[in-house]
Amino acid sequence: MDERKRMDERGLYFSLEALLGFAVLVLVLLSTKPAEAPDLKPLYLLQKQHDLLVVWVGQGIPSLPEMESDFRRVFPGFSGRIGFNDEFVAVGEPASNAFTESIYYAAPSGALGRLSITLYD
Amino acid sequence: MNTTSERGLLFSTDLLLAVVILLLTSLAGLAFLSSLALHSASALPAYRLQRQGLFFLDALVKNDASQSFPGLAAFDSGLHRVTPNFLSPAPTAPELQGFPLLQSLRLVPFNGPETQWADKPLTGPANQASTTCYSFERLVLVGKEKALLIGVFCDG
Repeated sequence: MDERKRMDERGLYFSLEALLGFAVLVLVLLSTKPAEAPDLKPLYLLQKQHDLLVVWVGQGIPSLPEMESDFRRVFPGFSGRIGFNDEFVAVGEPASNAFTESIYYAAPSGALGRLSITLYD
Repeated sequence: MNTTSERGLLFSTDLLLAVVILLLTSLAGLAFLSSLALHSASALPAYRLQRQGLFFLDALVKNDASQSFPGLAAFDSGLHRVTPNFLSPAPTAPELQGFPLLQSLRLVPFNGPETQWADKPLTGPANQASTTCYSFERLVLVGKEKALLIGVFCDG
């Protein structure tokens, strides 16, 4: 009778342990976030930044106010920062999430120039 | 004899519980994988639409008309190469057959009248409010004039 009791207790302990393990597994599965849906927005923004830089270099570097105007037209509702060598123009308020794209070009004088666009999202 | 019988009964109950727990665990895992697959599958059509729109417009601004794929970029005979993002001053309409998702395609100069190359009615179900559309823009230079190339892509 004593042995039977001990065996019952052991069986009960095992079941409780398994149930606890199962509960933990369910909790882990439920707490796992499904994978984020693929989003092409960063690529799209990068393409548009690249467009602006290529067009600016290709047409001849415009003035900073014209660059700002182009920026607002291509990225309505966005804020950012335009860099032209050591000069910078802020468009709107900065934010924490930033994408920067830059391009180097040879100026007519032969000097190396740099243009950059930072986009805040 | 009595002890053996009791042990057998205890073993069976234990095994039954273990099997039930194993089945429940497997069920939870499968349910999780199933929800994951359904979630991914529901996001896939929108992703495909975005991808086709982005890559189609990218091809338009990077290819010229001599390629097998539609293109609007100009060919610079001096440089012997296609000039991405630079269109000829009077770009011709690209060949848009075979792109059923393309709803409309417009070239909108910063200063000047726009050119519309495609604008077709939605061919989806009668309830067109459920149609998903994405609009993408690319900046190009038409001659010396900056313009936006705007493409709208819909799944219906």
